[in-house]
Amino acid sequence: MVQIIERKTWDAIVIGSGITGGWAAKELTEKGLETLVLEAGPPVVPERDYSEHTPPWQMPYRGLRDRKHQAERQPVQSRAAACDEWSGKFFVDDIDNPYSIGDGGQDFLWIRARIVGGRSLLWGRQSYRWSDLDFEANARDGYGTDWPIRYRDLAPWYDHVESFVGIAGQPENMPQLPDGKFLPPIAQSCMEERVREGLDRAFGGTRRFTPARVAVLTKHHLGRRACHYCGICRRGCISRSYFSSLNATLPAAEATGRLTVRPDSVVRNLVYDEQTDRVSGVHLIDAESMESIEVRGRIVFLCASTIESARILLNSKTPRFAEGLANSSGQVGRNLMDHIFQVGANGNLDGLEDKTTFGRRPNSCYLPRFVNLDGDRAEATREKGFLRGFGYQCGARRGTLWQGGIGQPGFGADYKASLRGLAPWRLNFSGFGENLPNPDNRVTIDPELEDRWGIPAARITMSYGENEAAMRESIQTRAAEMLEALGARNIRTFNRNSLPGFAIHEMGTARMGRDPSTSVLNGWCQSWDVPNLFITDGAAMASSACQNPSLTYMALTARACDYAVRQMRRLEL
Amino acid sequence: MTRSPWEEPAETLGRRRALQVIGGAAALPFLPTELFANPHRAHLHLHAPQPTGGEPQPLAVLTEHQAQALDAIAERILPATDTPGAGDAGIPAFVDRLLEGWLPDAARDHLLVELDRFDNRAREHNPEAAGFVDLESAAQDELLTEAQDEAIAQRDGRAFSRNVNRLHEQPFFDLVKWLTLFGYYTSEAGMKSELGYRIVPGRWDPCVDIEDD
Repeated sequence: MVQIIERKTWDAIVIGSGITGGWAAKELTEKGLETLVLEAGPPVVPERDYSEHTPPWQMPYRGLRDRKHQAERQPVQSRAAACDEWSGKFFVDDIDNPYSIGDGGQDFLWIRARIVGGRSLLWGRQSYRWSDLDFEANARDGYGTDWPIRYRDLAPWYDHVESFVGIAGQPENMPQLPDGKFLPPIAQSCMEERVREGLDRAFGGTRRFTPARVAVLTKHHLGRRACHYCGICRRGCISRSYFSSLNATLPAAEATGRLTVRPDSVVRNLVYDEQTDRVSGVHLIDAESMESIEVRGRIVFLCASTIESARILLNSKTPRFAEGLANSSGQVGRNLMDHIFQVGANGNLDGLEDKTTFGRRPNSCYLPRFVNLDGDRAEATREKGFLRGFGYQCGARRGTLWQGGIGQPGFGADYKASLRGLAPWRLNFSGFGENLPNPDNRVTIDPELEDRWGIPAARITMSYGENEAAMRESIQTRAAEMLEALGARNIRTFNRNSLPGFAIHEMGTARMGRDPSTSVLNGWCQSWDVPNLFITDGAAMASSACQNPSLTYMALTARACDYAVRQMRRLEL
Repeated sequence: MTRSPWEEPAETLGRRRALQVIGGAAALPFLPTELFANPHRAHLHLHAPQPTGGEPQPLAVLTEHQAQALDAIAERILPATDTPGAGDAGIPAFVDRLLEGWLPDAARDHLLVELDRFDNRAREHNPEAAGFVDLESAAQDELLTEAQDEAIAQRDGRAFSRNVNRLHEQPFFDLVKWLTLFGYYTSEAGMKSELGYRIVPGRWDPCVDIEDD
């Protein structure tokens, strides 16, 4: 029951302030729209809440985390490496924000940040373009439905977002990983230069070991400072050197004078007007007062993150949309995807014992996909056991010896001296693999479970299949093969069978498509059913590729904003 | 290697000054609070362990005597050499925080009981010693060697486990050694002097000579 209806009608309401909500806010306000951003969580105040320069000795547990609190309140979130003693406060309270696992599904790890800025504060910053190898994948092998767009549709929007974000990267001229508008790359370590040369020699240039492309500034860019290599971006960045909503898009939107952010506003459902066949507003619960409030807008951008956006649609039932708003296709919530990871190999490399690196870089290296390529490379790169492909996040580094000190007997001055110095160079390949779209991997609404604000909770049913299992084998084999070619010693393969959700690349629950009967959104991220509703977070994705997806979400968002405003001007919305 | 202004330790500069050094004073404002639709509210607060600022806190669990014993043990495990030892790393304060709010009850009780038992063994070496701190370093090392031998026998080839639910099963020597190592290499003394840690390195150099650094 809505208690308060706010009179003002906003030009646009954006739900979520994370990486896509921030972009929607920036683009829409810059195009002249009075925009309200709804964020479920509290503001983050950089001067108070960023902690990247707080060293371990100033933390109560020296980095061992607030273990008892996490065990009690964050049993899911604390599985994520980023949910540490410094950044744990940015992640949700699992007791207040429950979800359930559907019958037959694997445990799903839903890692969330309900704060102004969302997960853009915490992301890994890896930024890769997708290519037509990815946009044509569904059409090629028949899994999922065809993307309604191709690389040429998105390329100018990749340019657009990259120019603002600032991506450090090195052009490689590889069709499967298009180059972008890059700032200077972060140089590879001397050992990594050797690895690059060694792999080029051993594999004829087909396995390219490149500096990871990251949304971190290597020089001053649009009022934001170059990175100072303190190394722990996820704790915040007072110099704004890495891209986040809080560091970049929201301040840009604010500068237009047309932005309002409403924190502590938990969206319950969208409000649909049967007369006009449009979304007329958003029903939210004020997180603090628990009041039920309706806000009104001419268009709505749903950017709440893949699973939350599906949950909001499924919780927005109307007589016309008995199965959830914008869901005449029945595809809302379906085709949930993530990336398989925590699988690969590592080994020691001899040489350069007297060399190391200085500073803590915000990236490492990347090795783009080299299997199951298309065109004239298709035959030579075909893998028998699985469809699609994977890339590696990788790098060579030297650990400190003290970390293995507990395993070394002894104590005293000689023992202390033996822990000084660095371990040999170790090269690690960690695969990220594509996950096929599968309609049975889905988000529904739990019939009983509710969150702290009385909103029906998501139920997640997802399992990885045979294709993913076969790909995991290949990820290990191919990594070991490269280590052998480089003459590495002590080679170890690993496969921790990462649970779905754990790569935190979830996507696909409101896919774009060419046909309203099999997809939720058209090629502009616009709902087929409700034309003033746009969904531009990971939900829109029709396949998962193997690259980190955030850059593509950003490009899709900017493109959708441009389209929406043009439609409004033509009075078609 | 020349030292750039970046390499000044940020914590001695204070937060605002550090901001100026790093950011040249931010050119753009972060979000002003007036921006928010509900600016005058006390928003739900983020749960966060508050930084201690590295200042010494009063002991919550350990007695002064226990703290002194721990300090002395830590110093023998990682003694001062050309760099400070673990005795300068605030190990008792760190362990006290873990005892107060981090260790499971069984591990806490185990550590406290075994610490006292170990400390009492000092009398076997010197009947006039009130505890470990009163022994000469040679005698302290003897006691620690005995404890290490017992730990090796007790572990019987198994590795020390950091698993929080197994800590109460770990031999005292291994437990105190782990706490000393972790405490020292996360302390200001250990990180800066032994690991060459700088909070704000200020630059990335992909290849430096170890001798020169």
